[in-house]
Amino acid sequence: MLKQAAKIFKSYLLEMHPDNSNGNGLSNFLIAKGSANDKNRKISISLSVVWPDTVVKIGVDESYTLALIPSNDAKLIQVSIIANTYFGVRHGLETLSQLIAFNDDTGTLTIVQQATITDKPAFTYRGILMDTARNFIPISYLKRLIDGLSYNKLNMFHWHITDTHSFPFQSKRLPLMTQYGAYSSRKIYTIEEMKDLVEYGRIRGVKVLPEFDAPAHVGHGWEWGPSNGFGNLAVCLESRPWPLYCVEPPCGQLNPINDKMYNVLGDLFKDFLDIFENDLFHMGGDEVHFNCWNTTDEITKWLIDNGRGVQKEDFVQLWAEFQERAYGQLKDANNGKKLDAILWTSELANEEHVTKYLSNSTYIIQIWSNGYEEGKIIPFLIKNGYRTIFSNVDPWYFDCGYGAWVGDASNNWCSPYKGWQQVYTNSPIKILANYTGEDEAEEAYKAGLILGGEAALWSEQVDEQSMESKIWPRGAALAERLWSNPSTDWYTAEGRMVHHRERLVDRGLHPDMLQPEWCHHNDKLCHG
Amino acid sequence: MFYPQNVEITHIYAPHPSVKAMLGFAGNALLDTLFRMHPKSEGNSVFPTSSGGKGIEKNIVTISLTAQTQDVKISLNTDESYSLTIAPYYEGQGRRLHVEINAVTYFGARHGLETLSQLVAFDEVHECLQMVSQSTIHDQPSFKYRGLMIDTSRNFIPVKHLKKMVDGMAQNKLNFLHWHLTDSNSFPFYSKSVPQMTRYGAYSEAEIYSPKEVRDLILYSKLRGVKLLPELDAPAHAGNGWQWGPLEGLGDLALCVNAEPWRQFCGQPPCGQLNPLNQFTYIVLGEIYKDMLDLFDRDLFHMGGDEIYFQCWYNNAEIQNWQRNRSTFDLMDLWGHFQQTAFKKLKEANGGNYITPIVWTSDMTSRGRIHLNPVDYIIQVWTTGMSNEVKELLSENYKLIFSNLDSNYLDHGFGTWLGRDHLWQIKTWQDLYDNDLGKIVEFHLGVNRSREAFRNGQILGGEATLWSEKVDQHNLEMKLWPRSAAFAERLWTNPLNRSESVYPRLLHHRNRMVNRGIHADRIQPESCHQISGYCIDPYSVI
Repeated sequence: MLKQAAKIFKSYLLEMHPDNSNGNGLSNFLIAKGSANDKNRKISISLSVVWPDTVVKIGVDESYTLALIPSNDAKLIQVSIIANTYFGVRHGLETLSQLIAFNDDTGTLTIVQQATITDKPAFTYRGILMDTARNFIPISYLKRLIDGLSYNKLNMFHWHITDTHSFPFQSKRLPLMTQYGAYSSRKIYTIEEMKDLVEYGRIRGVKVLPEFDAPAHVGHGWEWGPSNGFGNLAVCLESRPWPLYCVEPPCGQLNPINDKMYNVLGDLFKDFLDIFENDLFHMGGDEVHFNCWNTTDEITKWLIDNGRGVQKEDFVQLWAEFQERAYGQLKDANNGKKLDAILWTSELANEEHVTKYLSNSTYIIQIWSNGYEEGKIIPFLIKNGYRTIFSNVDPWYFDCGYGAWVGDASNNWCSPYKGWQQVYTNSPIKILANYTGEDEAEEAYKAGLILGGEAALWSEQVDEQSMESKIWPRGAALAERLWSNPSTDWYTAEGRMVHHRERLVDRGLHPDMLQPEWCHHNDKLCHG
Repeated sequence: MFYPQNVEITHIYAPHPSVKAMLGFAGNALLDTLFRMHPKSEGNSVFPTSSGGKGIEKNIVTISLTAQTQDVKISLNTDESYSLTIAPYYEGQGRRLHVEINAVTYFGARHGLETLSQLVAFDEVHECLQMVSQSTIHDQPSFKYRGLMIDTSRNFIPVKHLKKMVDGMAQNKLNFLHWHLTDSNSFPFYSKSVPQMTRYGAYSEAEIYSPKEVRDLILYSKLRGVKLLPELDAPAHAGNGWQWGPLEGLGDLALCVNAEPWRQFCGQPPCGQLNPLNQFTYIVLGEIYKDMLDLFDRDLFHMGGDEIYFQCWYNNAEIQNWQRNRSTFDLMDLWGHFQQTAFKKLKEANGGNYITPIVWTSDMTSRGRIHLNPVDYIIQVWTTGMSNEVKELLSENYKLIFSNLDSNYLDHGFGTWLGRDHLWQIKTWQDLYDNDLGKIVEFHLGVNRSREAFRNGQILGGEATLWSEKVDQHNLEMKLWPRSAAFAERLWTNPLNRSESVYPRLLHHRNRMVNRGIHADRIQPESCHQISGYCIDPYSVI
């Protein structure tokens, strides 16, 4: 793994040459105008890892120490990177690459001569969510996303792989899922591709964390039940008018009273765990629409036959039972071994129900509620010992601001667009402190109840054509918030952001542009 | 059902060989587009040559193209209309379709081919193309001026990417690319007569447009029905590039270049404004005009003229003197003097021939109109559509191009680049689509006089602007498209309202653009494309 990390690091150096796109690689540098002195200068790098960890997990040690020591005649710079885990060393190389710059006058690279850096992340969970169900994203672009994550020391790629719209996940046990649910035969992630992606991420310090969202946000892919003797696996599929049965078209929700549905679920979980790492799983669990179940005769009949009602609380209970059985299937798929599961904030995870139905030793809650306007759930979850991940919509939804994609409104529901400054300013600890006071918030952080944060790019209005400029460089602002948790505001980070954006371009990404180039040449003069 | 290799341009009629050659080019461009409709094509042909007994390879499409005049210049008078007929006929085995495109000018015929390409779709099952088999279309644009503006001074955009922008415009029958070439930030236009401009003003050696590149881009655009309209913004929005005056004994050509604190001297950093009292300023300006007119068409020129900050001028001793001698506190007269002298230089640069200047709305268009003769000037509106200034301009018979910022600013939103300033909502495709110029003019003038204004040709059309503070080649296309496609439909068809059919049409067209290599933004989930009509709000009434 270290050898691979070293190889990636060396490719960064070649990419710093402005003519890199000519494909001449190292020879771009060999024609440098630099002095003979430059040509004889050497940099030797040593990498050491203490522990054998090879998987990114919550709580994994990502710290590193990086030292640059010049020889007396300055002809040699010795770099040493020491870390407890591979991931720390990898991050150290990432930092080292940022201490090097291309010198336009000499055509060579320059490097900081002497430095000692001891560094570690403020939060253990630093992620970006990409949705590949509303629109399909080719696997090569997911690799580019992972590249971008690694340049920014983000460590989680939360893959919202399926939804009502489409089912691109190839299931070994249930090939009917993609047969019915993929947008086309070309829009499927094969088992090999996914395994390859997991490995690709691991080398780059990124965990590929799968989400299988249920019981809502399912539909296409589940239609084959009746014709194969499994009954209705999903209900209200494409029901109209859709606002009665779901939050966005097309509608669809699992049928919680169909025992066979749980077997299917179990098979799917097995397929997932064959491909992905088995310490953490995202179970979704958001936006269940009770009217969908309440208008399905099969379900209401079952409720009444079992002496239950069809009021809201009855459906909450039905959902909770679904969640329990689903988790049981997940655990079984993991050979009976318990694993952490993540759920979105929802009716089930709210103040009224969360402690009743969801154990804080199993479930991590991902908060997507607005941090200030509807954020009371946050102190409640913390007080009750839930580990949390912040994705509060107000700044951490990267899909906001564009034209509406449904209905006649002009801008989409979570407009306006979230500028990088807002992304940077959003501090999970401060949001909590807003409710609890600073001391309590600090305590919760120390107790490990704020695992970190994640920005989400829901893909209703995204595919590979525009995804990179929607994620970057805002994802870099997110990364600095989660790695350094700075007490300074975005203002002091602006020059760094603008420069880092160019670094992302050098490495081949297509990020958004933040300022006129003049501002990059004239640091700190483009302030309001 | 047919294969693109069985499409043939059989006849080209034109009164001049150069028009014939252009039609040949446009015809070949259509064939190229057809080959690219195969999802696996990367510009090459991957269509099968035989259909295994289904006889698809026997079906043939023939196309004949006619342009009646030898007009090969796009102007505000160009006839862009065309007629297109598709009819089946019988001859030998297989099905035959004949397409006839007839237009007054090359540009109309080109538009006809663009429409034809939209009547063709890829057939996934048979791996061939399908086409509407019978149709007659008579089509012409509602507005003469259907433009996009790109700014290459805040950030440089490589020519290669400007060409892709032109590709996108051609696909949407947009006909004016307004090139905001220079600004106070940088001066990327290489001037043969005044090479100091780029030496001092370009961001780097690599960020310069050479005359050769510009000439090439102009030709590239013309073949695609797009006129390149240059803007040299003055007297404000000029700074970097103009610093060399004192060193070469010409005095200050520009004032307050990069001055700080910028808020005192300009609307956004970096500051800079031409020196209106230095005669050399006008001489240099004239030389640059000449260099530009050597390259661009000579009928229209954008002189900029927006956002003058008198504070910049006030600060200069010479200007203070000038002012004292005239006992006026208003520098509008000085600006007026600049504008008239600059216009004179422009005409001189055009060999004394008449040329129509365009200027932005500004302080001058609101209270210094005495300096702008409505017979000469076209005004580009960037106030809101409902601004009273629009009413005044209409009433005084100015010809207008609408870039009203409440809908036509493609750069709005996407976060601020300048501290807490410039926090706008993104202008969505819906905003652009809904910007009905008829309604704006009617709001100001009432029904009858509004009709008159249209009849008199006062309403030239519209332009969507992409200022480039937050744009370079990496995000250019997703910011332009498909919003500018919605904008194009507004100006070509001028629909009465935004009906539900726009969603699926735009979604489909967006995919068409992606297929042709444009990195357009996505506007809906693919499921909406597959289940047409489901992704609407059933309770909303448009």
